Order: sequence, then C-alpha cells, then structure tokens
Amino acid sequence: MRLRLEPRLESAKPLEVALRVAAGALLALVVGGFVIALSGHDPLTSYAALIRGGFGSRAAFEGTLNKAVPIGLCALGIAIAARARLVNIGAEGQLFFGAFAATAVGLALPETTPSVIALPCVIGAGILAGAFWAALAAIPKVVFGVNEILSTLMLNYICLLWVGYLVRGPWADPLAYSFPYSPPILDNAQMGPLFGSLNGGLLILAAAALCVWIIDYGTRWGYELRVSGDAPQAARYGGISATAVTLSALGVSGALAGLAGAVELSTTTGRLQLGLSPGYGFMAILVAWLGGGRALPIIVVSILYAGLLNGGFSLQVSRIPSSISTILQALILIMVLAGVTLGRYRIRLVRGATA
Amino acid sequence: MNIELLFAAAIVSATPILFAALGQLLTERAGVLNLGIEGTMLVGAVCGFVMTFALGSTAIGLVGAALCGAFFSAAFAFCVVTLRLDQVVTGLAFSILGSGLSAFVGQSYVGKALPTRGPIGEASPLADIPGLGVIVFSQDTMVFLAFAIAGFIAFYLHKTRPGLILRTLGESPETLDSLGITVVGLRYAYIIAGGALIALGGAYLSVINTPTWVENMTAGRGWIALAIVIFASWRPGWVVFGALLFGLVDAYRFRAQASGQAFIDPHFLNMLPYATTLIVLIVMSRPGLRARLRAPAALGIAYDREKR
Repeated sequence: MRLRLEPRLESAKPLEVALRVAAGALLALVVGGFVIALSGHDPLTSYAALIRGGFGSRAAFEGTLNKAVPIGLCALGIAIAARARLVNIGAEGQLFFGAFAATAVGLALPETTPSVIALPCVIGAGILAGAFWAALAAIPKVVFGVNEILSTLMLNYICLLWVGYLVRGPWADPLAYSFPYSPPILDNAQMGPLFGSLNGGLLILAAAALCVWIIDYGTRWGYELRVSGDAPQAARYGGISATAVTLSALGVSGALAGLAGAVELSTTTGRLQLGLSPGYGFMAILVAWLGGGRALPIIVVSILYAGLLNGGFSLQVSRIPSSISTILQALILIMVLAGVTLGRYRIRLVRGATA
Repeated sequence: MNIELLFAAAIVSATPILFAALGQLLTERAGVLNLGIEGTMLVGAVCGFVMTFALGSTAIGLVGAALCGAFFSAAFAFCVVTLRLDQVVTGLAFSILGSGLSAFVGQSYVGKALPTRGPIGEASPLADIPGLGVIVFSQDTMVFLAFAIAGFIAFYLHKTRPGLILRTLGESPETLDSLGITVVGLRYAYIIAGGALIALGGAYLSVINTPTWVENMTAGRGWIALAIVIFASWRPGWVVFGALLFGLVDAYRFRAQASGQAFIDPHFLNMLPYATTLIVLIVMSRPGLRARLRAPAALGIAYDREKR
C-alpha cells in the first residue's frame, strides 16, 4: 500500500485554503504540545505564557509590532524576488550590510547634523548598501549564471563575519566594556519611540507594503517580474530583458532588507552589534512563503511570527525553554506548507501497487 | 608554531565537516538539496551528547546520534519526496527546527562534561613515527572512519552499479523510473543515510572534540559543509580536500589567536570557505567546465511521476 498524490483539476476556493492553513497551524500546535509534554512541562501553560508574552499586554504587543518591522521588510523583499522566481535567502546578510553602511554614515556625520538630514542619510545608506550586497549575487547570476540560492547564502556568512570583525576590531566601542558593540551613532539619526514604545518603523513597513501592492497591481515592472517568473519564454519574445529583471528584482529585494537593517539600527539598538538581528532575515523567508508572497498577508504573518519570537523571550521567566518558540516557528511553516500542498493534490492510498 | 601539531589539529577540525559534507554529497547526488544540514548536525550533536552522558558509552552515543539524524532526515524526506514541498524552504525550516529541538533537548545538559573524554582509540605504536605519527596515527577512530567513508563513497559512486544508479538519480530520475527502479524509495534511502552521516559530524563535535554540549555549537559548520560540496563539485575526493583545507584554516586561526601572532584577522580567515565557494561557483559556470563540473541536473526538483 502506498501514498499517491494526484493533482486536482479545479483550483481550491479561498475558504478551503484558509481551512487548510488553520488545520496546519493547529496540527503544528498539537505536535509542539506533544514535544513540550514529553519534557515534563504543561503544553497549555506554555502556550498561554507564549501568547501572553507576545500579545498579552500593551507593552508585549508593542514589542511584537516593533519586531515585526524587520521581519516584514525582509519578507516583502523576498516576495518581490520570488515574483521573478528568484530565491533570495540572503536577507540576513543584506540586513547586516545595510546596518553596517547606516552605522558608517551615522558615525561620520557631525553630532550637530539636524534630524531632517541625518535620518534620511542613514536610512538611505542602508537601502543602497542592501541593494549592493544583493547585487553581489545578482551580477554573477546574470553574467555567469551562478545559482542565486547558493550565492546569497554564502554572502550571509561573509557579511556576518565582516560585521563581527568591525565590532570587535576597528569599530569596537572602548566604553562598551568589551561587549562587541560599535559606538552609538549620532542622536539625531536615532528615531525615538513614536507612540508608547512603538517606533516609527511600523509606518515604514506599512509604506513598503503599500509600495509592493502598487508594484504588483499598477506598474509595468511588476508585470514584467511576473511574466519573466511564470513564462520566461514568453518574456523573451515579449522583449523583457531577463538581465534587467534579475538585477532589479534582487536589487530591490536587497534594498528592502538593507532598509530593515538601517531601521533596526536607528530605532532599536542605535549601534552596530551582532545581536542586531536574531535571524530576522531567515525568519522572513518562512514569513514570505506563509504569506503567499502577497503584501497584506505578509504583514499579518510577520506580526504573528514576531509574537512567537517575543513570547519566546518571556517563556524563560516561567522556566520553560524559550526554544519552544523556535520549534513552533518551524513546525507551523512545515505543517501549513504541507496543508496547502495537499490542497493542490488528492491523496489516494493505492493498495498492493508496485511502484 | 609546531607544524606537526598544526596539521594534527587540522585533521581534527576537518572531521566533523567531512562527515557532514559526505552526507550532503550523498543527498545531493540523489537529487535533493537538504538545507536542513545545520539543524541535522545540531540534532546529532545533542543526541550524541545526551546518550553518551546517560549510557556512559561513546560508541552507543555515536550510533544513537546517527539514528536520530536518520530519523530527523526521514521526516525531511517525507516532506520533500512524498509531499513534494519546496526543498529550499522546507530545508531552512528543518534547520530552524533542528536548532530549536537541540536547544530544547540539551537545555538541562548545558555546562555538563562527559565523564570519559573522547578519543576512542588508544595511542598505537605507530604514533612514534616522526611527523606522520603525530599527524596521522595519534588520531581517534572516528577520524579514520570519516576518511574511510570518503574513500568508500568515491569507490561506490564511480565503480559500482548502485553508484551509477545513484548518479542517475540526481541527473535523470525519469530514466530510472522507466527502468522500473523506484525513485522515491531510493531518494528516501540516500536522504536518510546522508542525514545519519551529517548527524555523526555534529556528534563528533559534542562527544569527541569538545565533550560538552553548547547551544548552537556547530556554529555554521553545516553551511561550510554545504559550501565544500559545491566547491568540490560533488566529487568525494575534492570534498576531502575542501574539508582538510577548512580544517587547516580553523586550526591555524585557533593557534594564531592563542599565541597572538596572526597575520590576518581571524574573521577574514573564516570568510575563506564562503568566499572560495562563491569564486568556485563563478569558475564552474564557464561553459566548458559547466558541462563537466555542474550540479546534478535534477537537484532541487521533486520527482513527479505524472509529469514524466
């Protein structure tokens, strides 16, 4: 007896897809609960603590929203690249390179530079640097045909080592008690909290999501991305340059990740450090997929994932391992991915069939 | 700096990477890109440590780690082979899952050390040979096992019939299917065998190299192993070379740092495997070389019988 997947002829209805996503998430919670129970903790208490830590109070929710900003920005970028069937798993490196350039500008500007000049300079440097770091993968792709999955992945680690070198070496802050931190950037380039502990990053995320939505539904470029992704042959006959599409899609993808790095620097840490991102760029890959590559669902999913991340930190207080939140992040992706895939197929058990 | 000791240390550093890279080589030759490699190594590291700690036997710990790695990658195989989920995203999810699970399982073991220290084999009389003695013959059994497996895989891949089938599995699975060979079953087998090897690489770190468990102790070695497989363009001999090269850099970095006489900052030395991989990727893309050194043609593509 073996499992057989047969493609469904009719496409699934939105309600059906939503049901499958919910079933997948539920299954992930059940499997996760099983893991928690095996270790002698109560699954329900753990989940309650996780939700409380992520969404339970105003402070928790604001913390979650702030963490959703870098995840969401990176995920939007990954989704843009995915339109043209380009897989960018280098958001983490692009984020850090953006933060690096933003720090360089933020340290170089005189302390008296007014905010109206300093802030755009720092953020702009982040955007350009993120695009540059992505171009290091995009250019070999268009010139030599190098697979962007591998090149963006390798560039992540090169960038992390570069930042590690800076914060422990030439940029190490003598006042940071040997913590691997750079000195803080000038005050006027740091965005203070906007509302409660909420920072301005959320507005930038909303603006970026709106831009992605407009690109999708209102621009020639958005159309070209999709055509070259879905039907490369047709794109070639239609005169769409594959080179231009690859360069622009990966460039914009990197620019958004670089923006995330600069925003994170300017709103949260104020200085370059390796803890700037606890893997936002990697998490964003999962978020972009779960959000189906569309702007609004990406925002929703990034808030949920940020909640899991934020809740994970507060689990430690109740002596429950915070790694539960990491396990759940992965389980949810796998289960939902499986649920949605199964929506495209009909499963049949074939009895006694040989291969 | 003592050159003999440097080379001996290089071989020790190379061993976990060699295990992982060989496991990844098998998986990729079968046409599956397993980006869960870092997570699988961590699962192997924590399982190996916990079992050795609980049962007091290094051998049982290592076998247990391989079994856990096999089980973990069987779940990955179910997702990408049977359910045909996207290999890149699923692999990354398994990497995150592995790091979460290992941190979860290992939480109460942080800071504990194994009662018996690593090396299984005792010093043999061969260790007295000048030069080679220290570099080669004072190593533990697992080092020899890693290099023996590399030799076996090279032989298997290029000289045997199952090896030919494995190569075809990654190049043109539909050919095998039309010959009546089960693509799905074979892919499962190689993903699972590869996972066991990758997990052994992780366990070598936690059980033999530094007999302790530290969260995320593989520290990117899984990704380096992945880089080395590409660098080696899917050939076992070059995987050994790549792993040794990395081991040498790692050992040099450690020693230079300790003695404070580094010419180059260790961060830049650590970039080498990644930067080399990038350059190799570019070089391999030259038209003439591409035909000889390219990735298995079916790498990353789920096999769908109906689309044959």
